[in-house]
Amino acid sequence: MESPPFSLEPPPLVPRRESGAGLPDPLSATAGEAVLNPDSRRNSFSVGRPPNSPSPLALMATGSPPARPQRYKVQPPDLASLDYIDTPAPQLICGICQSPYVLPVRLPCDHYFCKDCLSHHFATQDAGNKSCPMCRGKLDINQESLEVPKIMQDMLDALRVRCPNTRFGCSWEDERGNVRTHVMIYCKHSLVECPVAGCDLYCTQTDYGKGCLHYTVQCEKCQGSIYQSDVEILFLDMKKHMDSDCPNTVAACQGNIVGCKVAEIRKDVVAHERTCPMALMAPYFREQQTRLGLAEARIGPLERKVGLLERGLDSITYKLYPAKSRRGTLENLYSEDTTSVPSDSIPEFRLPDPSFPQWGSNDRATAPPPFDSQIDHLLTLHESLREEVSRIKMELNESEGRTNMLVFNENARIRDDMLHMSGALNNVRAQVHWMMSEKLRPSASSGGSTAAADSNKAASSNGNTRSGTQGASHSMAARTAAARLPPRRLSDSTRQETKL
Amino acid sequence: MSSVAKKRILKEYAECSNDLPSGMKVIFDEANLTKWDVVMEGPAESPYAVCLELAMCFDKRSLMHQGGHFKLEINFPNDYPFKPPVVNFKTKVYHPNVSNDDKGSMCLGMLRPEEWKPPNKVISVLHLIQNLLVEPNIDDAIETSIANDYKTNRAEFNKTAQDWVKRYAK
Ligand SMILES: [Zn+2]
Ligand SMILES: [Zn+2]
Ligand SMILES: [Zn+2]
Ligand SMILES: [Zn+2]
Ligand SMILES: [Zn+2]
Ligand SMILES: [Zn+2]
Repeated sequence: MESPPFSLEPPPLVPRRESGAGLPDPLSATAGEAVLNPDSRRNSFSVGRPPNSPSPLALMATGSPPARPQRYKVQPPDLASLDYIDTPAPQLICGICQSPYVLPVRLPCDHYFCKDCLSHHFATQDAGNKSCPMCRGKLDINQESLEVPKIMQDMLDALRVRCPNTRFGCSWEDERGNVRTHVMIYCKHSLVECPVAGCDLYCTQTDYGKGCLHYTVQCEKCQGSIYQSDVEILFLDMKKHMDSDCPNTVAACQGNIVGCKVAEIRKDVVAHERTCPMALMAPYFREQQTRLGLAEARIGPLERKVGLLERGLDSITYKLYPAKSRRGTLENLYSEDTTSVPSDSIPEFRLPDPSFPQWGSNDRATAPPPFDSQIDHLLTLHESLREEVSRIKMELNESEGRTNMLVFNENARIRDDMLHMSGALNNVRAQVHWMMSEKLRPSASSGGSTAAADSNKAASSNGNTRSGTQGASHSMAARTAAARLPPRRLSDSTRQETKL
Repeated sequence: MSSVAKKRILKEYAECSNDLPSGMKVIFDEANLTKWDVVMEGPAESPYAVCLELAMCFDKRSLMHQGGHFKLEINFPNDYPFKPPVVNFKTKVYHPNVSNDDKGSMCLGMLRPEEWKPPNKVISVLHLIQNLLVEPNIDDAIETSIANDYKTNRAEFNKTAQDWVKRYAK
């Protein structure tokens, strides 16, 4: 017993049988006691009662059906509907069914037909008026049919056919003469007689242990009924019915992906969807969702790629500037350098580092992060140079103003001094003039002018002394001096005259 | 419908899809095996083909010569193949063997119940119809006036037939 085809669990559908009882199901006229539910997926169908279901225990007692195929009453193969592998010779084709003869009958006119085909033909004709379908020759129904040649039967038996259960999965192919043996004894896919007495239908061997499946089941929701055995074969169809067709199953509004909360039986939902704006938007959002999913699926590989590239870049940097890259990662570099920025309000201007695409350079650390291209770098350099130049220009202007002021102040002071000096000079002149006139009055000689020049010198060194006695001694000295240097004194006095 | 008939019709359809007479198409509905729709082109050598250029051109080899498109309906009786299929022209056609009414029925040769034999096949019926378009069967005519026309005034018959093709069988 490889796989028990049924289970002994108590039938969970017992309360539902009430709803099935009202079904117009001719097969459920004789009510059975137990309902087998070997498969939980059938839970959504209410089940009508099989005509005479054996109890699970009774089925156990009969043993495991699939193990002993000879227990089955197998449905004999229908030779008339066999699938021939090669095209049979036209001489072997029955004129009525257009297939190779099955149990050929030879008419007196030497025309052949299948036994069944011929009886169908006779059924359409009047009782006393039977004729050959081919030549319309009169036939006596009581006449013994002629013997079919052995060679014809042999040729028919040698035709290659497929197993009639090919659609259930059998791949057997052989001569037609063996098909009956194959189907009746060997084929695992043969239809077998329903195990339940009173049911003369056939089921697949795998369904044999499930009891009679030849009763209608009803879709609980929409009251559409379907043969239980068909449900087994077409279960996917039934699932489809529940998923997309059944008007009474609960379904959600199309707009549920946008947030519509409506979920009712399908026919109401369909009506709702016509007015639901969210259902209208649903296709768009569904498309967006699929695109989002696609994009997310693509991000993963890209992230891996970026990681790979970053590692490659690190190793390249390390190879190029081993000293600098050894200091740590880029982030560390930046944070270190920003803390060490000088606090001067006017940073000292420096020429750019000649190796500008360098990653760990101090200059670059204060500047924004590395540039994409050298052109960018050059442009910013240019910009900073321009700023520097304008700053210098301003400083120059300032110092020029300062110097101007300085010069102006100095000038004014010097002029004051000059004025003072010339005032003093005038004073001296006036004194000298006075002294000269004093002297000229008593002597009125020609040497008066020379004596005045001498007394001028003496006045400046001694201060203003006007005593008559002193003046006499002075004039004596001046007379001797004038004798020594007469030309110079003359020119001096004339010069002073013109100046003042 | 009997299973014999069903099997036989399916077999014949498979055969027809393999070798149909030229200029014919069978439209077949699996849900309703008993009714076939056939579109048949008028044979070039018949008056049921028209020249697209000249009104009275009989150069059958011209590329501009085109058969009219005739719609036929084949209905299989329940006891097919013991009874003949019923053939009707759905397109009006000026032909002695096709009734000149809205049925367009044909009843001649093997299509007669007393002449039908179960071994006959639809494909031979289609061949018969194609041959009838080329050469009407005057002795079996259903429309005697058209048959007369055909017998006594062939030119007039050809002209009318072509007119009808232009009018109904484009
Ligand atoms: Zn036959
Ligand atoms: Zn015969
Ligand atoms: Zn098999
Ligand atoms: Zn059964
Ligand atoms: Zn349903
Ligand atoms: Zn909604």
